[in-house]
Amino acid sequence: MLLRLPNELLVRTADFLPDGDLPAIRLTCKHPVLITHKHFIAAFITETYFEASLSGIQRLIHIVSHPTFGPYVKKCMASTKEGPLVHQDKCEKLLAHVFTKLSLHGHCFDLSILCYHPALNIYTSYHKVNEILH
Amino acid sequence: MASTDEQKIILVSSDGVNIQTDRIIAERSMLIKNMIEDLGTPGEEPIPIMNVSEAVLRKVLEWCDHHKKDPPPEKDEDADTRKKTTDIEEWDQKFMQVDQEMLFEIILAANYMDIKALLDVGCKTVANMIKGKSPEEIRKTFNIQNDFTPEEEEQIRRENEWAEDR
Repeated sequence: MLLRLPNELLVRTADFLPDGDLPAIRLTCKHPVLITHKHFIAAFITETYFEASLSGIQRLIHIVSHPTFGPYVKKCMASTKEGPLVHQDKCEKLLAHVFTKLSLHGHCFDLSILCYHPALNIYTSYHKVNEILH
Repeated sequence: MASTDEQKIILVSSDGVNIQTDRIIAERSMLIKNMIEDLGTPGEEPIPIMNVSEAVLRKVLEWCDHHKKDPPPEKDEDADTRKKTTDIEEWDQKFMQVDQEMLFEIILAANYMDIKALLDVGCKTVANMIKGKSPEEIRKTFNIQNDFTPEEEEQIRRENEWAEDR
């Protein structure tokens, strides 16, 4: 019955949904995936977080290579709880791939290095570069 | 001549029932307010509300009556201030304790009659019915059929992984 409402009213309803409820509603059936498309992008894609690890970077590649969502990635933020990257050579190669993908989408990018302080449970950003990729 | 507050007007529901109400109550609806301004003869001509049945119209007018003294909505309401606040005042919560059919009829009527505050209460109520539920619970609540193929469902699951750890 919910889905009988006109799309603009379903979108208005989705405006009130917390970001954390979007994954569940997307899994109910096809229609809500379309209705919550812009909400999902705004919540998780435009600014995408990944863990500074091999698997984290692989996940980032999956997002930036995605035909629908890739072009919406505007900011990638890496975070690490583990200290310096392991498999550094592999990670560099993969990150180069990410930057190439992002440049194809013609975006600026923010590169932030977040430092996690376990004792305080906070992240601080201690380095930031803004570049335009050509 | 009666002041605007005491003026009576007559609305006609889609099923042809005349309902008399105060002009100040009915003018919570921008549709009706504009119609009255255009007609220029409030109270004389019954105003047809083409898309709203008697039961729903009476329910909507009950809301308008309770909220007749509310300040008029700000014109440039920022869409972002609307987002994420699903708080609903107690009276409105009770008002919205109706079956789903009526809830959706109220939302449709609020949209048609251009009563933004009521529309928001309706949409928030639906959002609150979704919040914190699993996909299966949402399907059950709203009687939704899962129309994904296993491959499509798996694809959505993979995309949803991007929302993890946030």
